[in-house]
Amino acid sequence: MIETRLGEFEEVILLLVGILGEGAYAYRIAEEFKGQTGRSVSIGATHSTLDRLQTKGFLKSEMGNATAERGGRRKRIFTITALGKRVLRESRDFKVSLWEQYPAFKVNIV
Amino acid sequence: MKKHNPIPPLLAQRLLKFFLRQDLAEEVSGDLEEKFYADVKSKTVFRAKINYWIQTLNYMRPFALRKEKVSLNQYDMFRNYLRVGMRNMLKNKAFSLINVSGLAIGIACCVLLTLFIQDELSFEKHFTGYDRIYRVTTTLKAANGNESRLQRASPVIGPTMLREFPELENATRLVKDLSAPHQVLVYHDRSFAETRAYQVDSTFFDIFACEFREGNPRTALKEPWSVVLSEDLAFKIFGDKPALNELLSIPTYSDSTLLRVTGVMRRTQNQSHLDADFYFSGLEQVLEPITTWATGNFAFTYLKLKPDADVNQLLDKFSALMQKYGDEENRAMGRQKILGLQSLHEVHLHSSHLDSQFELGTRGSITYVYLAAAIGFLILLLAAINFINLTTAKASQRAREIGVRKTVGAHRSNLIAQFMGESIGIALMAMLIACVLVYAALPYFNQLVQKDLSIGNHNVGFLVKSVLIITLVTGLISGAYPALFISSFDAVKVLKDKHLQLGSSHLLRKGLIAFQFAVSVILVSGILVVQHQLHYIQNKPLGFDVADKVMLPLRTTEASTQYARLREGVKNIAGVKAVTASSNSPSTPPVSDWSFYPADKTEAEAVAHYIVSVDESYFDILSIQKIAGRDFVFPADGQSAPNVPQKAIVNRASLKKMGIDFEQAVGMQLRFANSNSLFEIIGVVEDFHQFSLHNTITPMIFLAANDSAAFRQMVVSIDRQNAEDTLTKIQTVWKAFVPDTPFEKEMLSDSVSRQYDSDRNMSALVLGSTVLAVIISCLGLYGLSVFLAEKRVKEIGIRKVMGASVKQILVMLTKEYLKTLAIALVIGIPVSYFLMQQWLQNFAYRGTPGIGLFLLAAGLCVAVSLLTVLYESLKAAWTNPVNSIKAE
Repeated sequence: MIETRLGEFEEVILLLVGILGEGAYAYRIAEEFKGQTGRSVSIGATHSTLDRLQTKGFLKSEMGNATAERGGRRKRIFTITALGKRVLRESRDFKVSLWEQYPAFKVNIV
Repeated sequence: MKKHNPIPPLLAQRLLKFFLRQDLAEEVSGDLEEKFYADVKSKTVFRAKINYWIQTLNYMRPFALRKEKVSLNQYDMFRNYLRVGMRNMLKNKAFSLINVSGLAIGIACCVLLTLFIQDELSFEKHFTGYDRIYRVTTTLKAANGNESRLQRASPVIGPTMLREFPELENATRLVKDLSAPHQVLVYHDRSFAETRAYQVDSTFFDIFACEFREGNPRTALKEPWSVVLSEDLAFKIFGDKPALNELLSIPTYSDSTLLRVTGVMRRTQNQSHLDADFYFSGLEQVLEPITTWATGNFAFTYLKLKPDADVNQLLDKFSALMQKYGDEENRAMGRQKILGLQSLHEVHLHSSHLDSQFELGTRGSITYVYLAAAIGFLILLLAAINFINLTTAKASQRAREIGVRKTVGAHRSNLIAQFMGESIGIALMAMLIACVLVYAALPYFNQLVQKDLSIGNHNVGFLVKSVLIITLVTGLISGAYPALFISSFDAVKVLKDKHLQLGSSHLLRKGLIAFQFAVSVILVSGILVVQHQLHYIQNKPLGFDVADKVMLPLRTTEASTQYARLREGVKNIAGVKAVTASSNSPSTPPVSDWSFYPADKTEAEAVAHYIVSVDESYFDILSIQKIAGRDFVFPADGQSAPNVPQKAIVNRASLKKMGIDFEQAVGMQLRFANSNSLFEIIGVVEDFHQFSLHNTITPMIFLAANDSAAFRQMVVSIDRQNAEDTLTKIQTVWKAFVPDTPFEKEMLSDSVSRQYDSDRNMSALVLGSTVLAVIISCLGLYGLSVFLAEKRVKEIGIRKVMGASVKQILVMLTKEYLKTLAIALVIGIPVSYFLMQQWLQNFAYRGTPGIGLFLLAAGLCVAVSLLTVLYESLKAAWTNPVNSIKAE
């Protein structure tokens, strides 16, 4: 059975893949993660999460074209699948509904 | 340079490639490299490299790891090997038992002997710069060609060398009281007799650095009359109280001087020939007046060279030194004196060419070490041979397995690995048993080799290493041939042919059995010869009577001065037959050797004699035969006056060496080399063995002593009846007259027999290994006979049906073995004869083991092995042929 719940780190990574679009490969995502959150993460950890998201069906990937940099090695470019997009949306909706039920923040949200 | 073109660390790249999934390799190494170059730009190259490593290690996650399909397969195969191996072992329980137990005994033996050898080789190695420390040796060459080599030198030599030779860093001397085997220490009213007490130079601990529990090794001996105790002795005297600055006296040495304790040495596992109970200082002062360069060779002299000094260059200077100072003196003595060096680490094992009477510590022998190594190796080899024989004999049982494995695609190398693995596994099993055996046998082994070996922190690492190495070597030796042999089977043949005979290793098996048997013959005849010689020693007439004599050492000046009163007191005890005393009773070390020559000859012809001072009726009490002249008359013969020759008795060897005619001996006058004293021979005694039978009888001269100060042993002849009671009474008298001297008694017979302790130890070692070797060989032979009888069971059945008798079948089955045994005997007996002759050379007096002894050994071996073979053969010959033939 495939786990379909989305963890916090996974959610961020998934979003970053969406943000980076064509340039979404492990190293770039790890860098972006650091840029956005200020927390550093190893490429391996990022890659591992990307791999997991792919198994869950939220991401798909294919090898990009070779470039002169990094010794002519190709990059694996990740893109969000339809399922991925839906999960992201559901996650956001769920959280928003939670926010709305919390009286202290009600004003700010709307 | 590097800054121009930094690259990611190669080792990390290789690691990455090693563990990373193949399909991820490109993108991941690309990502990491990109990161690396980004880091190089923003940080230092070093930092970038560290980061690369961190990133690499961070990729060690389950998703990214290489999944080895092949390794899984090998694991299954390995499990299969293990299972088949175990099944095979369980199927042939008897064989497995023989294999494992034989190997276990072999390994255990080897480990014990390794412990022994390591201990023997560890001597002196703990002293800092031990390879620069040397002992001065002295070789004395008399005009008549007699040569004696001593491990000691004249006292003046050490300090002179230190002064004159710039190569030397330091020198120190050590003296042990040669006449008294024990020194007595007195603390308040208690006295302690210690065997190992040495007086040393103040520089002693500068060369032989010791760890101190109390006091400071640098300063401990700087003051004269300081004493440094061993931890054990300090505990014996003072218990748990601090020993420092307590005062002790040594009545054996001097009545008046008090020694101050300035140090206590820590007890260690380190081995050294210098293992004193205590050292005391003041040697410089004592030896100062002794300036002779020719005689007085009693100081153990040690030199420490400077690190860059060349020992051969130093040795070259010795003869010039001797020439410069001692030439005149030596010429007067009519002898040559040559100085030499012996390096410290050779002292324990390589001293057999040096005088053995006064050696410090217990001397080992390199021969003994070689013997131990050879025995250990042999026993292991015998066990390995069993393994080889049984495994190849049983190989046909596994022929089908080999066939199938090969058909399914096993390489020969796989099969070799499988069978080698099996034998190493069996060796490992044997190792576990061996560990238990070693642990259990260690106390007995210690007794056997007279050691105090233990397993502890100091050697556990070495032990584990040697056990593992021995086990692996055993596994490899015993597994190599069977593995090669079994894996060479032709797959087609073994699968097609139902009754395939795989007997190609027949000759080898016979050869190995012959070898095993030859080893047994050599060991058995060896032990017989050793026993024969020990028996010879114990029964050879020594020239004096050892029965019912008690020796009481007079260790202190108190005891020797009070001897006259003591004698009267002991004499009056009922049960005491007679009392006498001497400076050296048989089996105790001699005081000194001095040279004598007939008054009508020159000093150049002087002959070294051992001098013994005796009390009244010494010869009568010891039943030493008088062959000419008369015995001493006391006190008349003991008096010495100027110009009147002192009365002396000599032994036959003395006359022979000096060339005096036996008939004219009595009344002959002798001169004492280097002095004007005159001696007159009043009697001659028959030769007797003052020392062990290892040594030839040397010239001896006996003097009557009115002054009891010369006496070191009191000899009491007692009645055999109520001996215990008499001894108790003697002790009471002793306590009354000389309360400060410890009462120690030893029967003369025990003291004489103690001289052969090391021979007895060797005998025990050889006996033990012989028994083991024979047991292992018989185990193997038994296993083989079981197998061969089984294999021929049908043949035997048919023979019986056709009318063969049990006897004929027995002859048929044992004929094979007998042939092999005969070959082994032809090889074994000459070898053992040669080896045993070598050993007997150690004895100046030896029995002649006849050829009968070797035949007896051969007979014993043949009998034992035939009995082993006979059991199975008889069983086979007696079976009802119906049972063996009917089943197909």
